[in-house]
Amino acid sequence: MTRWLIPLLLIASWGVTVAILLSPEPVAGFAIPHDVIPKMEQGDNGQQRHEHTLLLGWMFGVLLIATFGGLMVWSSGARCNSLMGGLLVATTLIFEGVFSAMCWSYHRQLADPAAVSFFGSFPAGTAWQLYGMGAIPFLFVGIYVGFFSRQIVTPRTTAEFPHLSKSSR
Amino acid sequence: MDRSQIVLAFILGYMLLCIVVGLWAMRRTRSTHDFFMAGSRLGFVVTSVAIFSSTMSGWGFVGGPGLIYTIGAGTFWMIVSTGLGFCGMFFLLGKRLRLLAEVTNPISLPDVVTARYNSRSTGFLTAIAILLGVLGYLGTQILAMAMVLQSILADVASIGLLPLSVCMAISCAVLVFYCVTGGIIASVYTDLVQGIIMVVAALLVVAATVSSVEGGLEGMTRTILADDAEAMGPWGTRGIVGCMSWYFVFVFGLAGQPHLITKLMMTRKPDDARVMLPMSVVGFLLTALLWIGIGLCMRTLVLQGGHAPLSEPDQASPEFLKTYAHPVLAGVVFAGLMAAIMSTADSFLNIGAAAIVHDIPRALRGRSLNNELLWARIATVVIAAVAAGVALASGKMVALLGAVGWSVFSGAIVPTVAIGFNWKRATPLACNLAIVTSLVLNVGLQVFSVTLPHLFYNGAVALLASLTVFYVVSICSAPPKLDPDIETAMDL
Repeated sequence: MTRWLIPLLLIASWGVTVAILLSPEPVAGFAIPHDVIPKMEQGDNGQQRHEHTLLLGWMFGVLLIATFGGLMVWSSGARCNSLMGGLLVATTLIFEGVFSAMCWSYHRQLADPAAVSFFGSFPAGTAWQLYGMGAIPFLFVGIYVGFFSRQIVTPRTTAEFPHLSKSSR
Repeated sequence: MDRSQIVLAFILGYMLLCIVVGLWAMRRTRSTHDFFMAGSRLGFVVTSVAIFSSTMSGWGFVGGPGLIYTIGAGTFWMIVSTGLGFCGMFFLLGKRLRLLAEVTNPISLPDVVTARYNSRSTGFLTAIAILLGVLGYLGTQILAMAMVLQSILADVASIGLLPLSVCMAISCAVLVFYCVTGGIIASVYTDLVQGIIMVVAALLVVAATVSSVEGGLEGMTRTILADDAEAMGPWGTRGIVGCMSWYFVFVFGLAGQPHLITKLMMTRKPDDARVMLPMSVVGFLLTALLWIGIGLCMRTLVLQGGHAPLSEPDQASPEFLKTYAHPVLAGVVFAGLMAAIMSTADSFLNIGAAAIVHDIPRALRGRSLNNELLWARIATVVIAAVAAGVALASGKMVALLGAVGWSVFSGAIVPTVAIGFNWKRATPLACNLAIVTSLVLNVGLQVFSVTLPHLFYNGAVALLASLTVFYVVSICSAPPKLDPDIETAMDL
């Protein structure tokens, strides 16, 4: 299953990419020069510029996170029903959840820009991005370190390592 | 001593330290294997610091704050995704590369590629991709280094504003000296010093940025938000599609950066990866505080009218340090800026030299050059000179040049190495086509200045295309026959 997961996710990513590239662009475009300050950009009207792409962008992100999680499971050699595989899948699902919460927060900010809530000195959407998505690597690090000698560099790997160079000579 | 002299003293002290490390490393560099692979005897601390300091390059310390100044919080994606990219890199390659290196006793990444696929053409194309990426990326580093030095010297009354080419020559001379004398050993040990300076500099500078704006960090975000809510939103001024396509290239592309993954082959044993992953992630995220702190601070100060608009976004870091930081802090952080740049540049010089004197001749003639160590030292000088020329000729912003180098590596090396070293079904033909696809798309889209709809990042299309070509061709080809030793290393 894992063997085919990545190619399938790649095909799905192509589908979303093509949909994004074919969707109409906002009239004002992106990377708009700032009204007053040279060499600075402004985002302008978020509602307009994300009218056709917020959902597609979210789908693209969800697929990329799934691909990343799939690669972690596949490269670790862990089965999905093992403890390490289960934790990697769970971390990927948390990752998807945090990303979706960030998109939802931004969507709410667009609906009512005056009522932006702050968390940790940042608007909610950006706080999800920095503190939420920024913390995800530590979950993967925890799994890598915790399962290192059981799943990644096992006693068998350590025992056979010195013989690798000898056998190739 | 006035402010500018204090800063200059720190920079001179730092450069002197690099020269001393270069001389020390020269005594430990006796063979080509020492010059390019540090004799595969590095400890995990020095390797971890070398990995994160090589990642947080001049592109991050100079270009990063400039990007926040220009596009706002959208650039946070690059930081968040690079942290994840380290996880991907270690899961995919932390153990595998070290095992394959033990079997193949390589001098460079293309050596392992050649052995894994039993294909000289795949090794050759990998070396070409590395060389092209090195020229773009190294040019970025050299340009950033010269800009920082020019900015420092301009404030010293007795020196004044020197031409960029002169500053480039001065900074390149130090870089080339320690790279030529000590090879990768000098590179990783200067990286160790540089990494420590970068972490200290980043922590100190965050405190300085917070105290420079009324209301601290929240004061900055509220000011930017009031001016333009989108700039402080998670997608910045570039929008969700632009940011997600960056995210794709940064998360997956880190495992394709040859100057980083080559270091995974230099440790004593595969067990070292257990400590190296957390150290690399923590080190990178700490140094990224400088990127965020200075970027937000300078955008805020300019919006509030407290600072004149920057002539170039890349001036964000130098301007902040010269205007708002205590002279000693400015000295430490300027040394940190130079360290960030040099720590990446030295790695590129090393892998670029390996491509020229080792990988390409071996692929074409079936054997290495005679007196390879001497030629490696000569090639190091030549590559630095060519990259400096490329940097001077290019009028593009530092950060964008760096991103092109990154995507060239990502599209070419992620399928071939990160996936192919874990998947026995991968074939040499699939790798060759994936590398060619990546090079054609990355270079073609750049040369013809193609801007995709919704600012979809060109490098993301190239990576997606090369991965697809790689999978499709591998699945459609006959399963390759592997060398038994390679198969053993891939089974472990």
